[in-house]
Amino acid sequence: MITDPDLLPLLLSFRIAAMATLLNLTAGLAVAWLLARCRFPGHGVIDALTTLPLVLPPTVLGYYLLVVLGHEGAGRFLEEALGVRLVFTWQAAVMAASIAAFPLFVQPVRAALEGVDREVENAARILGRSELGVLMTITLPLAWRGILTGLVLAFVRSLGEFGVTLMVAGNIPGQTRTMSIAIYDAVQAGRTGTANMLVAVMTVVVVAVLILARTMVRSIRW
Amino acid sequence: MNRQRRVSWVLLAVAVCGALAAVIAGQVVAKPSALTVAAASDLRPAFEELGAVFEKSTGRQVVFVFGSSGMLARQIEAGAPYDVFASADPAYIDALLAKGRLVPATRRIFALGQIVLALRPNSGLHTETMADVLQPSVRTISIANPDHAPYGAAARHALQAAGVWENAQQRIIYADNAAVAVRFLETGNADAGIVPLSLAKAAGLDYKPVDPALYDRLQQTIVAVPNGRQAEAAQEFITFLEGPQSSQILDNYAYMLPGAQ
Repeated sequence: MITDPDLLPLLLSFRIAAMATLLNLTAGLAVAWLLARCRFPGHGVIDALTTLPLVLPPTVLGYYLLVVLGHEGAGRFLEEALGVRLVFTWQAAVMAASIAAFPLFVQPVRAALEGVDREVENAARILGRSELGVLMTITLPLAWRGILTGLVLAFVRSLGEFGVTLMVAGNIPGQTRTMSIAIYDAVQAGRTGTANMLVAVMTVVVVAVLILARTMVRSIRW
Repeated sequence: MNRQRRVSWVLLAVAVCGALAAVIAGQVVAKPSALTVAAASDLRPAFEELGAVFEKSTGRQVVFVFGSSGMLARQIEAGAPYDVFASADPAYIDALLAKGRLVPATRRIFALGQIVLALRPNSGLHTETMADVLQPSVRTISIANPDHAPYGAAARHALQAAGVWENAQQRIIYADNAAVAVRFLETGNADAGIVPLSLAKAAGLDYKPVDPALYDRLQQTIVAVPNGRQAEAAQEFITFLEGPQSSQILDNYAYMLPGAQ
């Protein structure tokens, strides 16, 4: 167990990134499937909205989130009706991380789903597989490389999330001070030793995750 | 087991691991038991020392969040879960008080801050008055952003009162808060800076006081933020701040005490 207070942000970052990635796995998979397989009015709009977090400055995203979730926005009603306050909590950090990473999950998954041969799916249907069966045994397995790529990209992006998090979740030790924010804080405070250590740890962790993912994609032969 | 099944299992395993991580996270992260004090960045060295003494004498846990007073006030307005707010300018507190976001009875001015003209290490520069920042070898002057950092506003005020603002403006670099302005000097990225005395002293910089006639001393003000979690501890911290131990620490960091001018 990590007890060094300087390394607690690493633990926090991992938890927040894991939750954000899980959120993306469910919501992102649904959106990617919708974009890849369905044609409906507003398709283009949803497509553009999905890509937005990738191109908008984090400050703009952070500002939107702060206005929506904050005391001037929906946050006030949430607080008055349910007693729930979102801004400057770890839940807000999870939302920030998942929104920032959303396009990085959806794009590769969508491309992978589009690449699945519909004839194979239809063959399975003719042979009596249910729709859920087709999805679980044909579509998702054939798209697994895209899904894994999306998961890894989204996780690493969430792990390093900074701008949106700082705006909506702040810099509260033990609650929302993730690795990237701890690095920013250490630099601001002039704690060069801590900053060097955190930067080194962050670099090693991200490189390790990427190498692990690469090895997984390469070594698993079905 | 055929290959499609295996892939499904792997995907399922990934989802389960994620869910487990999420559950563990939910349990470990959500423990807001410590007193959270949001404080102006000039207070960092003094408050960190003071916080350790406070923890020892009360057995309570305290964590600090430092930033510019304006930024912290904005966060409180948005609902940040801070229990105590220490601003370098009472104006930010009074604006929040007017909106009913703070506890009026707890408001205290606990120290007076000063600004200094500080130089980067080994600059070889010599400065006596504000006008000396106009010498050609001073290429950059760091101050905190006057729009939301009281020490930056005081720095700008002093430069204006000394009549050098117009000419110095080209050389000014704006830092997020006063602590960052001092960092620019410490790292040698700015030649001169108008920064809090407390931080210049703590960083061991070479500095000259700024004539008190050029600006108003910064009234460091503290107040409790009502969010239903730590009202008692917040009051305890504010009381502690006025005690003799705190006065000694604040004095060590070159703050003046109100009423002891």
